Amino acid sequence: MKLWSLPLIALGGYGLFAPPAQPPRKDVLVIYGNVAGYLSPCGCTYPMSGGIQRFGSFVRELKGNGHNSITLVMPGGNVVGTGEQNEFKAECVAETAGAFNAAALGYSLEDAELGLGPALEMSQLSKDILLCSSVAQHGQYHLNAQSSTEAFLISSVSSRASSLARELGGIAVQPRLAINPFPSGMNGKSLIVSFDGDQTQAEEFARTYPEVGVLIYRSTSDPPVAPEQIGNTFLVTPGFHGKNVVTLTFEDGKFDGYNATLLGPDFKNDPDISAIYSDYLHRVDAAHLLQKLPKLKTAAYAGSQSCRGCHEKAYETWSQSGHAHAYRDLSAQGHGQDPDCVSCHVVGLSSKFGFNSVAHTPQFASVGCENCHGPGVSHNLHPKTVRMPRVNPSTCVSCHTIENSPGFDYSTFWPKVAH
Amino acid sequence: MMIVPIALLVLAQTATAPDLPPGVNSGVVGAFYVVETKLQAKDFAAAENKADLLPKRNIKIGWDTSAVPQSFRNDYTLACKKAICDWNMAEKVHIAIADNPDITFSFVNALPKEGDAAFPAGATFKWDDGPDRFAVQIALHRLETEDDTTPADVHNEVAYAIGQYLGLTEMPRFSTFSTRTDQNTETIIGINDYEKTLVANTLDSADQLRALVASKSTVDVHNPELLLSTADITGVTGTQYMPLQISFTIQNLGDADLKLFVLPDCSCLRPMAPPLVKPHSTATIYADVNTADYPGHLNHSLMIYTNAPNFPLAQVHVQMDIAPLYRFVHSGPDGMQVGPNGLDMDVYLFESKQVNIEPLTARILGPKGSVTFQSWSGVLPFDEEAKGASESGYKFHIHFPPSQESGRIPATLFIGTANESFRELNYTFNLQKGIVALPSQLYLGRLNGDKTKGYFMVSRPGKKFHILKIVPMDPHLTARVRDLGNEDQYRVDVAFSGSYGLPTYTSQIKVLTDDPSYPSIMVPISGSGR
Repeated sequence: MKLWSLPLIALGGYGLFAPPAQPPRKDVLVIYGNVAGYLSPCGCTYPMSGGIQRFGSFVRELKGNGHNSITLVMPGGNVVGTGEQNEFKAECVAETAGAFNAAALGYSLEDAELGLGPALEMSQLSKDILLCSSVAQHGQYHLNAQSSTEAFLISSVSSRASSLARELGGIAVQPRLAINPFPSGMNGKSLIVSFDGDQTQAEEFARTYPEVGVLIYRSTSDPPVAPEQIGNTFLVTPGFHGKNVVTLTFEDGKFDGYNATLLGPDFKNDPDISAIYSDYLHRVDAAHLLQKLPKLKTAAYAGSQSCRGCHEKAYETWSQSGHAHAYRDLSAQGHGQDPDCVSCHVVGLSSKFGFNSVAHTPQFASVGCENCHGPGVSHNLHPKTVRMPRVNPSTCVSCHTIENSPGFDYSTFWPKVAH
Repeated sequence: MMIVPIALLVLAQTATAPDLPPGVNSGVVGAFYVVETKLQAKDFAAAENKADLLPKRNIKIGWDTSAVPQSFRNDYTLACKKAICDWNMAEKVHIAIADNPDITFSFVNALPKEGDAAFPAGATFKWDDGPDRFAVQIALHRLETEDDTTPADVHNEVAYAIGQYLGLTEMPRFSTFSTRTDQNTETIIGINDYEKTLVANTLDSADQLRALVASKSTVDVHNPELLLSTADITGVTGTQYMPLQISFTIQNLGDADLKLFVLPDCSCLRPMAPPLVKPHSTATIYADVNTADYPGHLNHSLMIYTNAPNFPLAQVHVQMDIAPLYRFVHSGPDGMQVGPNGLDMDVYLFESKQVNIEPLTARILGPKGSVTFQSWSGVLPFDEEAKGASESGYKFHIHFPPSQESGRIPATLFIGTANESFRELNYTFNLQKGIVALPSQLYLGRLNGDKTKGYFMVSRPGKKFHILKIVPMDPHLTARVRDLGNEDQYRVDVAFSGSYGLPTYTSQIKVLTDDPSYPSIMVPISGSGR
């Protein structure tokens, strides 16, 4: 003991240095996930929403607001499909969870289809908070079944436990055990379950297991304005494609203060998560994924330049439109090698006779005439006998979807390219 | 007889109150209502007095920056002037900073949270029947971190406030002059066509009403009154790709035309509504559901903007369950092993009862493989969604010959159908040939100079092999092998020493096996520096 501390101890004995009364503990539960591969707000038109970078700034903001008791739970549904790019995406989400010291990263059947190796890698990158409570694992590999904070016990339960076990090579665990294998160890904590199931399944689950405090389900809808409550269980969802963050407060054993926040353009990109995301894009570039895509034998594409001879006016309109430099714009944003994006920015990506790379097929490196009208070599050779099909508004929405092009309105957009 | 001329005089002085477009906010609707009722009561002095509450074309802004630190004052004032300029360019209005203002702006250090809001208020907006028609207080600091309010924030709050004064209703999703946020932003918002039209129509109506006040005309006040048949639509079910429509009725209980437009909060709903509903009439609002892109449980809203003083903005919540049209199920985990005799596997296609998708052709894209198919019914024990029930659909038996490339191979089952609407269906899965490492490359994440670790699996399900040696190709790496029990799957634990100075790290680990067909596998290792 240092000598200078003695007078303080003596004074403390008289209550002069007694610690001030602690304010009641207030925890904030932050729920974000079900990104389903949408790591960044995808889109051609303002305002796009979502993305892990904006989520990063939301969490940082919350921490900056003095909320130190933040428990971050990221339910599964990180990817849709398998393959290298989905591995990269899953790892990027896991690294994001790790960067914010999340309490739990859920694990869905879609995530499990990547395989056990990627699961272990996700676990490592997330700092061992990838939870898989519905499968009893054998051997020497191990994914955690539950995580614990001062206020919460968190598990990740699947409505498709047998399929999950089949993917991982383990044994499906009954939901009661998956929720909490040690009920005696609750110590006043609340149970949070990241549930790989939809709202209807979640409602049934909540009725069957009323001990759950918050049940986080998966949904393709935005989070509701107010949370559903069954008994004492709150049913919440972060929605789809990582567009929203849901928060709840937990004080005196009760949940309150539900908020669903849309990650709109007013959220800046968090620099740390931007670095992680940038690494992801570099990995996509380095893996040459575009060149590995399966190619179909289709009719041959000619390139927009071939249309110019007969359709000069239409060509002029096109060349001054955003379509003409769609690939250049995409590349400038770092997505020029990203298969998720490129198919809507070039001609014929899925065709053996379409875009391959800027170096080899520069004539297809934009949104050209044939994106809407179809392959044009036959028409080019026999213009009078082979007619190009007419297009209608539904052609546009194959790329201008609500995710890619929020606010797309044919009557407003068509005049920009009318010909 | 003097009766007829007197009657004509009375008719000439009784006018109809001007129409307001749907979507005008309750503050402006209330101002119109007050003036019109005064005119109806022939209280022309009060009407003239209250006419000052109507939105004007010449708007005077009170701009009080006395609480703003000197270092921000100029930027904030420039931001305010830009917002004023944006409005002056967009509309037939003349807005200027002047005395006797219609809208006042002042600043305070910070504002408290309002209700259950996620963040402290960035600004407050108050209507007043007095000389300060619309008073705005802007916080100098935002959020609980007390970040400085940016000039962009000031621009956006001023633009929003002027829009409110001119009749815009606040809309969700921060992006244009009808929207705002309590958070910090660097984004300057703009006006859209809808907002321009609404403000132009509102100002026209205000001009008409002021003219009636000036001519001391008596008006017949007629108002629409909205009654919704429901505010919640639940229990709607449908099938993916199949047409689905929801509907509800609205009644106009008032004695003026009810004008309306309906906006969804999601592209999964496409509403169709009549532009107006006659007094004492009923109309049906329909909304087509985009079932193709949104299977599952949907929970969304339709926002109904009206000119009814009792409901300028009404909301109908819609809950729907859209069942998938078809689904694929296959036996075994993803990445089934191609053995010495190749691989035989089955994929099942189950369709909804709402549709008949008869396969005509089937082929494999990617690796070499052949497909046969037949209709099938029975119980699939591994299909959890069926919950043990009997199902019927099609079974595709796929044979992959042994001559495949080594590694993990994506394969797509491509099905041509007789259904005009669904000519092609495809289903992608993975095969595995030989001994494979997963993930295909080990990523160590962001490297910050500390030691870190990673794992990859080396496996060949169902056929034993041994790892003879692990050879890291770089001194920063060490690795060891753990057998997971069946001698067909191993975990390789990789440790990275951390002392690496370059911005990115790339290396490889060589795995040597006892199988002469796959004597070595190279696994790329990478990481990113700070």
